[in-house]
Amino acid sequence: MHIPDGFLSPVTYIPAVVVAAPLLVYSYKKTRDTLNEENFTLLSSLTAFSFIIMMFNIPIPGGTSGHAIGTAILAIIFGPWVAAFSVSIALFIQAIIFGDGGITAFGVNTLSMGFVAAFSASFAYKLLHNRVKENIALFFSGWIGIVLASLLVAIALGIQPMFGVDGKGNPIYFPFSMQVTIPALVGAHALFFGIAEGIATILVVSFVRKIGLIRNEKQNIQDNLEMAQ
Amino acid sequence: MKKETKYLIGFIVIMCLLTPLGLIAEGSAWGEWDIEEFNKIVGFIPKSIAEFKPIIEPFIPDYEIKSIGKVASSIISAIIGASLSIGIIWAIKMKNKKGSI
Repeated sequence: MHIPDGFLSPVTYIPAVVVAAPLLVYSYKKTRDTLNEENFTLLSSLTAFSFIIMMFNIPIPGGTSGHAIGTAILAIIFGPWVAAFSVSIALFIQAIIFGDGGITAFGVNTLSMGFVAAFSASFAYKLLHNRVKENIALFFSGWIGIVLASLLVAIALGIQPMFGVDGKGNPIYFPFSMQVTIPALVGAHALFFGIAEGIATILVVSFVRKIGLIRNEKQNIQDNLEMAQ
Repeated sequence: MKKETKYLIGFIVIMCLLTPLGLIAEGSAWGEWDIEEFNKIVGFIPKSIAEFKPIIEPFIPDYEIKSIGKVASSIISAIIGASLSIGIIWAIKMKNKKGSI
């Protein structure tokens, strides 16, 4: 889901940066104000986890691959703003140091894997928590987060053929329309990587609860839900 | 060091050591093709993709340090990425006066 440089027209990535910039500033402030000595270890570990889990490429039928993103874990424990910012840190390191995801495409990438995934996971968890079995709530929050993120990526890529062709009539930017990108990307995330994200969300949130790192979790969840509203 | 902190550090270290499992997947993510793959899959290379010059040369492109092999590259990349993630969060914590008691 990390869109590389050159795939998107400036007509796409400039507005994406314009939308993402104030969100990043606001989420940075939220993150700064949330951090303290007590939750630093957990937030930094889960940010590192988000970076690492994106290296676990899962092969799927058809010869392609993909990965979980770890956004829902952060969103459920720390709320959507802190989650979106933390994942953006991981995405930024991936783009700058490892060339994974473009620098011009950073706006779109942070909007999809950061903000869209964090807010949809948060809303889903708010909706399901205490209404269904906890593991189902955790699983679905992870699943919907990554699936909606992939939908934004599919739209961003799928509109590129409209933005120009070269002398031979070939598209200048990403060549496939939404009729292709939506089934390919959203389909693969709904069937495979969403399952991985759901399972990772269950395992890691349960692990964190088990080792007792979330104190006052009820209050914590309440704060996060209010923040999401 | 608190017990919970040890668990979390252990968890991150184990995850870093397991990242070579991600190498099992040989195919690229759908759409994230390089120039050769575009030629093979699409039949041409879109102009903007063919001509794009990286703004910043990545330090370790594709998580691979050519001289040390893929497995070691993967683990070292994971450790660098995890350390930088933790370092940036730490720097932000230091910006919060409430955080630095």
